[in-house]
Amino acid sequence: MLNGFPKLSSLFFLFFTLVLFCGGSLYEATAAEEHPGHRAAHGGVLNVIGKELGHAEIIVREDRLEAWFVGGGEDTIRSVPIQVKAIPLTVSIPGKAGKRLVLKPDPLKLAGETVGRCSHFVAQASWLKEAKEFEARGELIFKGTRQKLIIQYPNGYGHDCEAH
Amino acid sequence: MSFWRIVLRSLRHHRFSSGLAVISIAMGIALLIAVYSFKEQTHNTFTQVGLGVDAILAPKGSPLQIVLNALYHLEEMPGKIKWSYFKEVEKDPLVVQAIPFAVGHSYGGFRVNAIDRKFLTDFEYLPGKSFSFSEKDGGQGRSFNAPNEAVAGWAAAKALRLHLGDEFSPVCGVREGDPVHETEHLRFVGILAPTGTPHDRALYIPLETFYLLAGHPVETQKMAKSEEYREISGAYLKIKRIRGGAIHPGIQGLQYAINQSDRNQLVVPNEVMPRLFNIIGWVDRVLIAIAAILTALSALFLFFSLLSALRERRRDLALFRALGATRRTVTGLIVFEALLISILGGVLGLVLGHGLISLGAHFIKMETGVGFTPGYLSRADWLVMPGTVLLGLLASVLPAIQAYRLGVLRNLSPIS
Repeated sequence: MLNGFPKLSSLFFLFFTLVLFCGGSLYEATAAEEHPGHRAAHGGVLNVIGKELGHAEIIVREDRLEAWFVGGGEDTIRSVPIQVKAIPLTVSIPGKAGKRLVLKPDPLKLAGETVGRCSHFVAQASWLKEAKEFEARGELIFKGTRQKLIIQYPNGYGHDCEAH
Repeated sequence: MSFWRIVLRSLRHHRFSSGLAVISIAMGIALLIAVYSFKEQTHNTFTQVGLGVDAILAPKGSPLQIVLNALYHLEEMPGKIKWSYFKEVEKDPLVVQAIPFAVGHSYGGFRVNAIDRKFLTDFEYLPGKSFSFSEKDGGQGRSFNAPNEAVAGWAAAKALRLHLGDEFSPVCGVREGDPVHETEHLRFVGILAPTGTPHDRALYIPLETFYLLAGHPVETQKMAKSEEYREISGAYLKIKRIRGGAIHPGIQGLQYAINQSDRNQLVVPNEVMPRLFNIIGWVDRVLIAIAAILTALSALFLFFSLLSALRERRRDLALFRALGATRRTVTGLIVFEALLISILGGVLGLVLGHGLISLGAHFIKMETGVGFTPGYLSRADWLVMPGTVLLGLLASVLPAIQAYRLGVLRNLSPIS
């Protein structure tokens, strides 16, 4: 007589376990997709200048705000030097009194920048530490034309989807 | 008689078709194993390791071309960078090591990299691993100390059959027919121990020798004396690390600043190589598709061999049933026969696959200097056994159903 034969139910169990195992292993290949859109070179917040003429990329760390002026459209990793020695800003913080902030040039020496032809600016103020949200407005000559500079932090100005 | 003994006897009885099924499954599996292993190991080598170089300071041009030239000794550098600019970058607090080099010479088909001596003595091509001249590691001699001395990478020395004390005249260029610096005779004083990286496939001379080679124009020779005029092809940079060994995030800012300059750029190999894999990814996919089709065909072969074996054994199986075997038992015979064939095929495929990697790894190392580990376990290795068992189960479904439905009386009736 025949003996030692495993039950059919255990075969079915084995079959479905294998299908799940192999199927699960293949799934990960389709998971990764690139997020299209603007890319902030320093991982900051992009604020549109003019009609996509350029962007101001903003990072706030502690009491220091850094701004990089970059190209428009998707050209957000190319610097645009500004020919000014300072950019005064009027800042409004929800529920608090207005503040003033001055962006001062901090030239990228390795890019050959100098004060007066610089794309990187910094500002320092103690209230920045507590400011979770603010809007700063100013003016500057950008690519030869006078433009309004509007910085909305932390969401960015002029884009529906920021901080890529 | 036990169930398993019947299964084994049946396999022995149909050993030719069963053997062919095992071989065809093994071939498909072996190809899958080899393709996946090469794919994953290549990806790891070209993206995660970075050959010890966090970033390359280079002239403007294609980043991929720069990585291929600076790290893999292929292609050509698109230009030169100023020594003064290199010194500026070297001063950046994020840069912990900067090694300048000048390329553009070759010998016997291998690139001659004129490089700062620090590369051979202080540079780590992998975390904690520096170049070795020690005989116990497979190296010989020492690093260069004089302008007329040279060092050979392990694979280059092996291919060119170089020995310590041998002399050579570098070719001024990397193409066939380029002029030779005939009056220059550089002497090999060291052969590097194998590293399993493309660094093995180059010859190294002191950086200053590059400018002083007889036959170079006056402007180039002036670069040896004056830092103001000096130019280099690029520099390997090691960037400061943060906790956990990750590269300091400040590299983004450094790269941005350098990339804004007119003539220079900072290329991060770990950013560039994945792009290459995106471009050539279709090759992998085609190879994997071929291996998958082969495996599927082998499953089909298994299916037909089971089906034909079943036709031959109808009478035997009917006899089993008459002797008291249940429908489930007869079905199980078919299923387990298929399982045994597929498992044997899987195991043989694993062995063949890794044998194939071992064979290919030898040739790839000689051609590219990139080392592959035959014992590396890729994602495919973990899927092979469950996959082949699944394959066996699938191939046995229809024959097993036919065995289940087998009519005892009809198949036991006299044949003539």
